[in-house]
Amino acid sequence: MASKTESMTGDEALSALVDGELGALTRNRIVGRLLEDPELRARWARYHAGRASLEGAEPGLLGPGFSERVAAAVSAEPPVRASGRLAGVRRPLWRRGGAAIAAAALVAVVTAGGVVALRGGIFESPASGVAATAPDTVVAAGGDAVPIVSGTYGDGLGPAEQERVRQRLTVYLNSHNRFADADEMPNVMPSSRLAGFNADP
Amino acid sequence: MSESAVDLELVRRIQRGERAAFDLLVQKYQHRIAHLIARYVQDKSEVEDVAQEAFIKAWRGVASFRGESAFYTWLYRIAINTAKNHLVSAGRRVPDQGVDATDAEQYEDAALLRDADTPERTLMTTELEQTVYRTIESMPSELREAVTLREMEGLSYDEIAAVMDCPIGTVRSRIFRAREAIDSAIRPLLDETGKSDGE
Repeated sequence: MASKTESMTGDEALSALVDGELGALTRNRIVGRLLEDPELRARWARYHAGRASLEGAEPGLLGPGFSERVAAAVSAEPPVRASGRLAGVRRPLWRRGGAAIAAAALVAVVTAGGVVALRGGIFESPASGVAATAPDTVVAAGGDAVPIVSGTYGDGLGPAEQERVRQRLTVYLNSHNRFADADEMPNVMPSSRLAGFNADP
Repeated sequence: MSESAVDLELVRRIQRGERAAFDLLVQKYQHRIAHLIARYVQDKSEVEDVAQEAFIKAWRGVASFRGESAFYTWLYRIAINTAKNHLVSAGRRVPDQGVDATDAEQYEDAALLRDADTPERTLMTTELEQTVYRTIESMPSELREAVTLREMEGLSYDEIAAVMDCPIGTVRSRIFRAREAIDSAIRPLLDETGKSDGE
């Protein structure tokens, strides 16, 4: 239908809109114009008045300015707070993918952090240089210097415990793979590839 | 693709906070709703008040409208209930028979309402209606046929194209030209009385 509507004038498109004969893109565009153009809105109202006459719906039942009175009454009402989206109305692609992308980004960050940590010896004893450095301190409200306790995930773990942590990380990444569906997010690397990364050189 | 899709687009915009989209729905349905209410509320002076109350109720409820039924079916139901409540609160009898909103869902136009008109009401055509009919009668036959198939028979552009054996773009153009002719004829009347209600 969209291809058939390309050569339409604005008024012709309005007529087709009244009949529900526009494709989604053109429909949204014309509705947007309707909301901004008072003259077009007046024509919309007249088209429907004429149509009501043909349907025998007696436009004369309502006094002049009825819709303005309704609009004034509605303006005194609280704004609409949508409690749920319309059934059958698909959310935009960017919104549908938004949650999945956020989850995938989180997984990617966690994974990348893990990879960096693995390369830096996360599962090994802290470097002596780090351990020898005096801890940073902050001044508490009472004026006492309080050391900042810092450490690296995996500090002090034995080899067996390190392996258990590694396996848990892998299980986590694999169980969240669905958030990194390559079909919907072509620019996000599926976490399974990262989870399969071999940390051992 | 249908009028329902247009209504859903407008509802979606209302739910996003565009109040003006509600005005378009009021302008679209005000006459049908008034006609529907008039079947319950005989006093015409009360019809407008009840119609306004129905639209305000619709506004209050539109946030929870999820599109599981057609918008006009939902609106009709509100209008019928408002009319019945009005009669009850006024101590008047609620008619046994009326327009079932479920039945209304089967109709894209107001055919059900038209069919249920009383002879008295049918005879009581307004100047506006007479102008519309005179305009249609004076149209070239291809415009008259196109607009009649659309407005009276409720056919889609595709169906009209098949009936009239012409491209769909021609159908769209003919209906537009017919509508413009009607618009030109009724505009002076509406400007005079403000009945178009959008100006």
